[in-house]
Amino acid sequence: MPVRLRDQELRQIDQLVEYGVFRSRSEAIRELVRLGIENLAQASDILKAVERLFEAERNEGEIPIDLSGATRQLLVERGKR
Amino acid sequence: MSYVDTSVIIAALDRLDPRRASALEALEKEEDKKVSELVLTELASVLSRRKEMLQELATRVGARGEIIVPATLLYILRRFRLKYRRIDGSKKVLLLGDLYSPFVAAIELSSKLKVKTLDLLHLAYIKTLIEGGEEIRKLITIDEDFEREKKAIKEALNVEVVALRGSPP
Repeated sequence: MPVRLRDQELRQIDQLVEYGVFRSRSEAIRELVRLGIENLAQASDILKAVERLFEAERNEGEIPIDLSGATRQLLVERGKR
Repeated sequence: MSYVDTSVIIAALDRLDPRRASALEALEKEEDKKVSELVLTELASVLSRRKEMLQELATRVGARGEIIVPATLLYILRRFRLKYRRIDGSKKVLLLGDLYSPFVAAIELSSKLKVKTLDLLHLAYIKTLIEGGEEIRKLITIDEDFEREKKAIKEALNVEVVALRGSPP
């Protein structure tokens, strides 16, 4: 069954494939149809937030995520000293 | 092709960790890097407990609180060109029935490798990914327990352990 999508939606689907969330356009479309319109809107919000994280990095010249102390925490939780 | 352990990604984002520079360098330079759902789970667990950082991040990018963890995970994947590979399927284990494939691999590896559970699971994901056709040849980590088992890991999986160290003071 042929499906016509808007360029913007197709770009978002391609991004999800690029991230490895889905293996192909057809798998992505199948899953997204199943999840429904509400979740597609949420996926769109997530992708917008990702783009803004890249903007924040470009503006500040640094990755905008600070996990200071988390490495030690992770290793302790894995049972390491 | 490399499998990147969660510890490397966390260290690259940990401004206090002495291995940050080498973790960042490895993530920037290394080509064709794979992660598993276990890496995503550990990352999500660490992120979700950094409530203040997440709130500040959500405000900065104008995102609702409930989407900031998945957005941050996707940002990290894209930022470091990490490819997530989903595992499909289950396998039959004698007398135990159907188990999820990575857990079958973990049970198989447990007789050859003496490592803690989460380390064993990462190695099991590598084994499952290799069996699924991924040509993983390196495990990049800062976790010294993998390095201690590097000979056994090489024998069991034909994967070289690359353990990153901190920069000299």
